[in-house]
Amino acid sequence: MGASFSNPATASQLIAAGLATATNQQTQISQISSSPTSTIADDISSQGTPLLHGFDSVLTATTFTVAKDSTTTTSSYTFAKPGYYIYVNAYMSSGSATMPFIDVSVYWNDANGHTIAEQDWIVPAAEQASQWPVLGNGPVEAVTVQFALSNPDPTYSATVEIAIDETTHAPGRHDWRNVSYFTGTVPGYFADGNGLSQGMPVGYVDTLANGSTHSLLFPLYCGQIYLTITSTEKISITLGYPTVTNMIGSGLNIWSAASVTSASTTVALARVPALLTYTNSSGSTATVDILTTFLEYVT
Amino acid sequence: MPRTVQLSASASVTLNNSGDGQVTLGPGIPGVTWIPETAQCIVSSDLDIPAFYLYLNTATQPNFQGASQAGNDDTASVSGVTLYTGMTLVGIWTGGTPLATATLVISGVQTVPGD
Repeated sequence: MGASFSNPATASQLIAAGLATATNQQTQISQISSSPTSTIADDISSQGTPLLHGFDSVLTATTFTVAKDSTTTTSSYTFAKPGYYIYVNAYMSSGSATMPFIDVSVYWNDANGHTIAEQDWIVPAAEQASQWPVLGNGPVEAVTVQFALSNPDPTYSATVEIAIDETTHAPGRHDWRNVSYFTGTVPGYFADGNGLSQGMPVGYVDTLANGSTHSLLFPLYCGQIYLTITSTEKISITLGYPTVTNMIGSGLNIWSAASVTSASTTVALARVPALLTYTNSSGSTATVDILTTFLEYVT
Repeated sequence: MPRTVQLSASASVTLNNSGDGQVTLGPGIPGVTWIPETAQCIVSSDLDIPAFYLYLNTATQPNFQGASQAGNDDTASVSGVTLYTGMTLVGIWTGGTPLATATLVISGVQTVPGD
């Protein structure tokens, strides 16, 4: 009598759930090996196939609090494999934050503690946990890594959750991307209906009242995009980067069109959050259709 | 004569901010009996993969039926369990993705009162 799952819970999970009965423990042991030997190495050499690749956890999901307008520095985490995969989920303590981004500085340090490589990533911070997570991977560039998490918001604290795995995979470049998981919003930015965030050729239809402005955050992306916008009323459009302290390109516009009912462009984005803003002052409500094509998948 | 018909029932819950949640499933109509054959646990997001625990009636150790470390998507064969009116299967997720939707699907056969 009972239920036999394909991926039975581990002994530690059963213990944590208060279910570590002798029967259950024996079940777990028998699942590990029908003929256990003295060491794991012996088991592999005599009964199994050695793992030539795989993943190990470097940092289980850990949350860091970053006070307003300040920086939190994490511990150092040690690598033994050539590649890393990372999960970063940032979120603000209030939906009223005015600069909802976290600057994640990645410092790769050698055995003597010298920084020999560094990357900076600006990740959007949503109003709630797990709403705008970023998944990344790349080459391990030193023995240890350490993060400096900067919160530029002048009023509200932020929380950043990070998990890291290492792997024998060897990604050629650092590649961090938003996940297509956006059900919440980034404070101050218009929810995009999970449209542009998907990153593939999508048509996003928005209703824009007269006198209103909507701001859509694009996900982290590096490369060319094709953007076509049509509107039933004349609107003004700007594509650029949001204003974020210390972010390259902060507040800069890279393309605009004024008082148009259709416009298109091809621009290159620089793997920081890009911002599409459009304003309707035509006197009537406008229906705006936005088509975005990313040359490479985003999510 | 009671009739035997297919059983397919499900219940969903939104996991809380800690990624935990619980659902119960069982026959609610007098005279109906469930004989589950499989239990499937599914979660709408696997960013954090939850553990899943299945119990009969109440979440206590004597009623433990099985557990999975892949509570985001796993299926178990269920044996030796018959649910009469008022009895339930209790599915519990822990450590999943906050605010994700978790669903327990019970399949098998059920007997219903006949003519």
